[in-house]
Amino acid sequence: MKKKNRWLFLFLAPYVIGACVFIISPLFYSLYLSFTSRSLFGGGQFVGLGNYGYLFSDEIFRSSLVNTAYYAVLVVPSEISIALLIALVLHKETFKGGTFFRAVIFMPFVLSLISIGLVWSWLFSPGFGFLSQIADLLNLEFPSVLTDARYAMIGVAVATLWRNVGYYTTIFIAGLQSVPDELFDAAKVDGANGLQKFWNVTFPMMSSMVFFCLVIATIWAWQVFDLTYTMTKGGPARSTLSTGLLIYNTAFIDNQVGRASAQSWVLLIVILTLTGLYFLGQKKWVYYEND
Amino acid sequence: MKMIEKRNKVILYILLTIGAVLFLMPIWTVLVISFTSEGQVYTSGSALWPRQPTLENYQRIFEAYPFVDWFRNSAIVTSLYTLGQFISCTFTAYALTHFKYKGRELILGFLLATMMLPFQVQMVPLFLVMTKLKLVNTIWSLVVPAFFGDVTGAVCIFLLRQAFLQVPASLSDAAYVDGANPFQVFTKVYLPLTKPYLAVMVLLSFMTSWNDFSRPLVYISDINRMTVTGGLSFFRTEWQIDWSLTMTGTLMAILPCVLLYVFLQKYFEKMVISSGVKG
Repeated sequence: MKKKNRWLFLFLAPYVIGACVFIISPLFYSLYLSFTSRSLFGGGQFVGLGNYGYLFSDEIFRSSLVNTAYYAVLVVPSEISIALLIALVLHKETFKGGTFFRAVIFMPFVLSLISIGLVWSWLFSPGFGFLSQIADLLNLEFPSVLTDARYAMIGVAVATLWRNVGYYTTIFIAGLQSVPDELFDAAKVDGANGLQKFWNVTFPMMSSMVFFCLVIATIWAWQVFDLTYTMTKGGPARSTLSTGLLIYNTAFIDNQVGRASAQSWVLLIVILTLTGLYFLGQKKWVYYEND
Repeated sequence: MKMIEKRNKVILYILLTIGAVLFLMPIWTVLVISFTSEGQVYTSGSALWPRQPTLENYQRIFEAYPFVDWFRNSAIVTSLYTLGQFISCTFTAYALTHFKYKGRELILGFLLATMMLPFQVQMVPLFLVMTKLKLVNTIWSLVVPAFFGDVTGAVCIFLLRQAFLQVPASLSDAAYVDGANPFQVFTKVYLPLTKPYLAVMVLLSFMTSWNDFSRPLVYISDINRMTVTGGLSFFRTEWQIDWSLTMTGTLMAILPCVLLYVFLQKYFEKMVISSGVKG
């Protein structure tokens, strides 16, 4: 047995080395940087909580948090509910062609976010873009979505939905297929109608998966960077400046890595807090089979 | 009753088909515009069919951007990244399942926690680490971490751990009786028994690396050293954008993943399900 554990070092070494060099030390380094006024090219000094104090009163940073929250609110509930709806239609194994429709809806998920951002920038582009051409045909006024501060974030959200819905749908379908048929039969005997069946049988059985997707969707939404970088560069009038994008700009355009690190720690704390709240709230509605 | 059911079914299929067509429309319009000249796009805009199909965008793009370099870089980065992930992720998953020791659960917990870490938190220090390691502005910055453990590998390790847990202990015990060492048990018992999961892992690594945008953007500044996906950032300048060229580039950048998806669709479904549901 002793000998066997010598082999353990070989197998564990890559991850331990990697975790130290590429995960843990960057994390601590970033925490340290957040207390300094360092620029990308070095220099700077220890400023204590100075960066955090600055961020607290910084209009741009605050609005970036508001923008990101707005994006998350636009994206998360709609992703999950649309995916749930589609999964309910497509999950039956007897449903002919289900595999095809499932394959179609998952497809955008294999594309890079930047390419999705570019494709939707094109679709939304005013005048000659695809959507405004359609609107022209129908004699409708199509707003210049991505250059209008009122609609820009909605445009980014639509692109996100197009990409992610298939991912959640696939998870939900797998979940629905694992619900034993007897449960539905029993509900039928009890005379439950479609909606009752959904709330009393299907949803509780799916709740752990819905919970998982909610957590993932929220974490992803708060990290949004690629889409806002590509589609709008944060504009117009900073209306789509997400915190993820602001951190990049602060670090690599303004070269203020100290301040950017502080921003990123605030973002991390927001994400951890939200995840924590989800886990606290889950006892109320998530049902686990093993309980 | 039967009639109504049948009619409902027909309506459902019609709706689904319309939905599927609309859903794929963005990709179709990209394909169309890549065969439409820039001038045509500006005069008559988007169309359902290229009115005067032309290959000029595919010629122009190689003149305007170092697309050949980008493809070569992406090919090197993606294959080495996938190789690195294969080694480091199978090793780690094996260490997390086949051996019993104090702290095993701690490592697993740490691994799962890293999945929550936004890249933005690591972006700056990683850039500085890469600068220290003299890897910045080389494609190695995108490859080296894969051979160890970094945040992008967590999903793969978790997925492989689920697979390795299903390997029956009796098989590895029998191998030990035959005088095998743990490394042989790893290569002769664990890996052959989990081939479908290894395929899923390779696919996932390929996609992660090919589609990665933030890391190339942060680490690499020379246009010739870019990857294809990172290179897309050069298409959009502040004031103008050449749509037919941009969409042609986008199409070429997504093509490998789309083709993989079309031919290996069942593995993708497995990938989502095993990485998601069992969590």
